[in-house]
Amino acid sequence: MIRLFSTLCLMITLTICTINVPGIASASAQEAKSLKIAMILWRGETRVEDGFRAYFADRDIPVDLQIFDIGRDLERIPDIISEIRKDPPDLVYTWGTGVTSRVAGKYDQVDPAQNITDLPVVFVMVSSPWKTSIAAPAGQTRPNVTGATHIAPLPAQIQAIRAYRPLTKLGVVYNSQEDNSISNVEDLQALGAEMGFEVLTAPLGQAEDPSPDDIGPAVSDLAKRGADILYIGPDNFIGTYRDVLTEAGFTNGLAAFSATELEVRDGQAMLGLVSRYELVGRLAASKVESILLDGVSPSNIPIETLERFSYLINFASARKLEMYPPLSLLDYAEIIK
Amino acid sequence: MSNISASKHKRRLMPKGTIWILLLFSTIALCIALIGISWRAADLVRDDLQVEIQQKAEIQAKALAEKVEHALELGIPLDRIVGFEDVVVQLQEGDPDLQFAAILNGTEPVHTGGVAASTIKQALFEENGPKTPSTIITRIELKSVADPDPKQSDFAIVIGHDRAALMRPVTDNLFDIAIIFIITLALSFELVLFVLTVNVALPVRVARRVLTNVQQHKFTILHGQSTRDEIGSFMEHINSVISKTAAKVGIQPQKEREVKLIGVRLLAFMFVLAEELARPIMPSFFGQITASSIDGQLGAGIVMAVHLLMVAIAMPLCSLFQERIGSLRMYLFGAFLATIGLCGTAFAMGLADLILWRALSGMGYAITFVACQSYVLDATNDGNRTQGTAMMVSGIMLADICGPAIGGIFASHFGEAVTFIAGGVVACVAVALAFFLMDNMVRGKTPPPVPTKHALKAMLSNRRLQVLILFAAVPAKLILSGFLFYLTPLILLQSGATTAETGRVIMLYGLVALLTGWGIARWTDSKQNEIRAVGIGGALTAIGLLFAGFMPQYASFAVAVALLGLAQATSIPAQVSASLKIAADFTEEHGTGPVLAVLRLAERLGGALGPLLAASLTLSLGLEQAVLVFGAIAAVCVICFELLIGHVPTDQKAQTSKSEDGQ
Repeated sequence: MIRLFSTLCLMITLTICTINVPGIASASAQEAKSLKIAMILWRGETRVEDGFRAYFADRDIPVDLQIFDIGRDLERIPDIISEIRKDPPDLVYTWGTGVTSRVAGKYDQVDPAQNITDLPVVFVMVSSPWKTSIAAPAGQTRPNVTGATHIAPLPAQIQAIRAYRPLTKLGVVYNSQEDNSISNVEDLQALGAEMGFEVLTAPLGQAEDPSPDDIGPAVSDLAKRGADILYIGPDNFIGTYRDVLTEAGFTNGLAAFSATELEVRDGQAMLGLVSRYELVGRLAASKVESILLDGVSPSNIPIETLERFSYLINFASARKLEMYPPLSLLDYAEIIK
Repeated sequence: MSNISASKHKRRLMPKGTIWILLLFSTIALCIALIGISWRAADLVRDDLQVEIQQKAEIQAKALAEKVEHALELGIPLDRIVGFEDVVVQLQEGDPDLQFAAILNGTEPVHTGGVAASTIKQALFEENGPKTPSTIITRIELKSVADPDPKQSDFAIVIGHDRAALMRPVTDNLFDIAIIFIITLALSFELVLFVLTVNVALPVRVARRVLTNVQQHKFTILHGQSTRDEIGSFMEHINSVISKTAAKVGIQPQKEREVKLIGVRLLAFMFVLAEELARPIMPSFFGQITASSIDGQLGAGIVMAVHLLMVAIAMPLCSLFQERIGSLRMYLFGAFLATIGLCGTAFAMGLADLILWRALSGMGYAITFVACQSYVLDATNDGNRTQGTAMMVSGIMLADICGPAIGGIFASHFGEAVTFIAGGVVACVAVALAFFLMDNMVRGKTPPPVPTKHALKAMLSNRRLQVLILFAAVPAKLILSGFLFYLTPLILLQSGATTAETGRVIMLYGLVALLTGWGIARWTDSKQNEIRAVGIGGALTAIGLLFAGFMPQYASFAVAVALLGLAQATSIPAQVSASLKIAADFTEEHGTGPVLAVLRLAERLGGALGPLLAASLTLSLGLEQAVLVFGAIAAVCVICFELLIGHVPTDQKAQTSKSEDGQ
């Protein structure tokens, strides 16, 4: 009897929460005024946000963006959430796995006190939302969370590496304190069994917080163990110290592959199969438009990635390593000189 | 009075001796002519193709050069270019004739793909040699190679194509060319055979009899096989000498001539060709016309079923009247109906009139078939009946093979409706030809008395005839339609064979039957054992089907179909002769019509049952098991046939042999 009562109470609460999500019930009323969006960013604005803004500008949809840059410090998020609650926007935009995880919480561990549950949340740059429990498992939805992921499927990434050079041993330096990194390595290992390659791992931060000084020795170790290429996955720590990693790679004659654009375009990773940040931003903006202007519930908007990815080659790195791209790649790869 | 050639003594229907050398010579001459024409055509194609290949090679070379130049512009040193071989492999996937590509510095390969560098060097060496090289080389210069000493460098991309590509249109279509070659040869052979037999063999044979007669100082026969050539004018002189001499001794000589049985082969060929020309386009054409009334596929099915039904009904009915009407009149009527039916089909507007036109075609087909058969039966005796039937069956088989092939080509050039009109024209030409090809000596015989009910009952209760019909005639057609026309195409297409490959396997049936039919018929007549031939045919069918059932592969189906062709060539003509022999008591008094009517009706029922049985077996057991069941049916039937045909009441057997002796 008590369980039945509790279930009923929960259902009523969830229903009320859903109804009360601003922007859903009063979507039409919002059309006249600017859409007020709070953006919680990991390390300032990137090309993702450029694409996000461009989407609305192209459609003449006025947006009022409130930027909250946490400067890579996740501890600042509770204060930002408190601030947001004082003057609630129409929607909250989050950048990256760490930020989204703190703001929206995990689907099965939502704390209305610490997480935002009464506003729609649209995330970007979350590499594996299901593995990190930001997204609910298949068959379930979260009432206020949706977003755009940016990582190409792992098999496609491996094929992209193999289109450039043979691969039997993939070296991964990663931060063992980041959930998304651990989950990505596990996925790579499972895929290795299927696609016939071995994953050589060099986890950092197992005893204490990872240090950039650990990266060089880890890369040397991987080179000694016969790694064919270094893999840069969705890892905030490695992303921050990507140049340390790629320089160590040059020293050891190892090229680096990245699943994210910045590591190739702005860094020195030699190749990457990536989603263009600007397009990811536009994809996220389209979801925001559906929620705030069309009145679609976030629970009915799928978490998606782009349908096409870009093959990037950093030619300076290729020249440095004397690993020139095969002729066939030159037809479709974007060469960054 | 002419001397009717359907004499009781056994004789040949086809010429023998040196005439075959002549035929062989004609065939060789035809082959040489066809090969010569084909070779010239291939030569012309090669010239066109050489230009096309060079253009294609230049495009490929330019594409390769662009890639290489792009790499060079990026700053990749020429000797450090990666993946040239992979690019060549990609090009080869789209162009199997591309043998290799290479980046050369002078004559030295820097990068190669397709074959080893040494092979490329050899090909380049051959290019300047005296012999025609085996590779077509295309070369374009690389301009943007930043070389420290440009004077000493001569960078180029070369592409090598297999010279055999020039023969690709021939080699790729080898099967189709072979089919057209065989058809052309068969048609030419048919005409040569006809012309030689009518103009040379028959007049010479009769002349020999006349001269032998004169040699024996008898002046009783004149040469009546008229020809307007040297043989004819020579024999006219002889005839006048015989007439004068006979007048002196008071004898009235009679004209001797032989029936032009060979003509029936051409007539049978013509009436089946008229129908078969449009065979490949029938379902789609009927579907288009009936689509406005009902579902196109269903409409096509109904129209085709009506045609078959009309054939099944008309054939036994016509058999009953064949002797009253006479073969020529019957053939003319049938071909006339077929002409109307086929031309009407070409202009059909909807389902109703299409059914009417196809029913007329079916009726025409059945009537001409029965007319040809009755002509053969009238003009032959027990000693050569199987050969006579085989001659007609050969004509039909040839049309079965040639018709769809010619019709398919015709339809693709002139359209579907025109193909039906072409069929109508063929049927119309057959009407005209029948006047010349059907000998008037077998026209308008006195009709036999109408069989009494008692006589019919006695004929139907003839145990041996029952066994022949139940265990040979019905299963033969049942297996033909069920296995060859239903199961074989389905299984082959499902196993991945193309439509053309499936068509070739089915064509094997007609080819084998055509090539072996005559020889087998001669053997059957010489042995005078039609029952044995029917049994052998059944056994061959069973072996083939069981083989295909146990090993359902393309090759085993080809073997089974070929065996079926051999089996039908052995069994079908023999069945006609056997049925008439078995029912000799009846045919002596009432003619062959009713016996053949019963045989045809049973055959057609078997033919109609075949696809139905095959479809239901496929649904319940699957395709491969259905073939096995058909094989088992064939085996059981042949065993029953062999056991029961020999175990008949002795009085009936004695009666039959008595009647045979009486002939």
